Amino acid sequence: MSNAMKVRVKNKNGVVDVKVIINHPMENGLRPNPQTGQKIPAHFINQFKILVNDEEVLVSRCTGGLSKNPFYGFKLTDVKANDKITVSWSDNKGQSGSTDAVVN
Amino acid sequence: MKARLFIAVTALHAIVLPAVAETNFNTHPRFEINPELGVAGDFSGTYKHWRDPSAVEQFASVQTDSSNEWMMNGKNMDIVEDDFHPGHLAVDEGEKLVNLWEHREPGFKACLGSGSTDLEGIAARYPLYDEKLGRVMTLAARVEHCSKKVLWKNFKQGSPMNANITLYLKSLSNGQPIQIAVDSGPMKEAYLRGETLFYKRVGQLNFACASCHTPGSIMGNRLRGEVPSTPFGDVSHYPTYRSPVGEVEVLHKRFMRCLKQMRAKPLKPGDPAYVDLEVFYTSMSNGYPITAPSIR
Repeated sequence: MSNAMKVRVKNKNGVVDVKVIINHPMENGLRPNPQTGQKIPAHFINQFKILVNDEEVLVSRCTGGLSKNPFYGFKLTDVKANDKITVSWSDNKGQSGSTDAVVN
Repeated sequence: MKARLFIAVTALHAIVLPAVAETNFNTHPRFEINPELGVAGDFSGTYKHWRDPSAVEQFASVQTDSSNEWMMNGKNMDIVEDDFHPGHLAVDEGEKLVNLWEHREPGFKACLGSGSTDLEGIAARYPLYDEKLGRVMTLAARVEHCSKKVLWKNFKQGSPMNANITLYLKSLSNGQPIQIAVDSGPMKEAYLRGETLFYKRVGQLNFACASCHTPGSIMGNRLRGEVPSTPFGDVSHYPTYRSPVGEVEVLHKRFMRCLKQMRAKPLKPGDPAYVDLEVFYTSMSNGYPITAPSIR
């Protein structure tokens, strides 16, 4: 439930604007817990993928440097209406998530 | 001899007292606010800039100057076409929670809507006086009350769960103008108490809300890095996703942050004093449409 994500796709004159927001703590593993003083274990997204009709168009390898609840925004060309855009991510603890969106 | 000395002391007081009485360390000088006018009674003179989305667009050039940005009252953040922020995630989370608990304990929605399961537009009428419970209820207090009564859980005011549900309920009234009546009964009493609290000086810095949010005060001038803006129309976008905090902030949490910055001891969310202050603040947003979820 905590790893929800939201995708918004907008087609504007052949350029498809995709915006993604992922609910993720993005702990880099260096931050101490104020109560115990011990470091909070690292927990961050290390792979972020975009697929158009099950074909990879973007793979991003990220580290703990990204902020909490990361936001991705990018533009795609050569995408037709009713194409399926899949956004998926996986983190260093083995958790993952993916959402589909259809180009309008 | 004693009597003569007493007279002498009193006479001295008579000379000194008028000078002391000029500065009141307990209250800030009052301004006339007409609760019937609602948001149109804005005393800062900036209402024309953020009256509606078209006015915000028209005065877009104002925000380019950082010292004039306060005139927009933050409303320029509401008209961004592609607003996409974690506030939307919180709305989804709240919707999920409400549907989940309605599924497990039928009657949760009916309790939230005080009888009806149609939750659209209820947020615009809060805070209101509940005759059954005999107290002024805010939306967050309603969520807490229903969770206790129907679910046998405690979604405490100020907790993330309560904030998410409150934001979801508020998002169902998106675009509807706030309509609360403070002209009679317990609501008027709460309004008057809230007005007193607005001008009440507290804390080590001896600040009142009015010290930063009335004409002739710090409002419109720099207070460290910020320029305080008018209190009118502010409630319409709360609970809001605060990017400096990184989470959804409810109005009572905002009051707590204010009190902390005034070096005063913050009260807990849901405190009767905060409820009174919320009634006063909401009456200052009367007639202004709700924007939820929002980002500030």
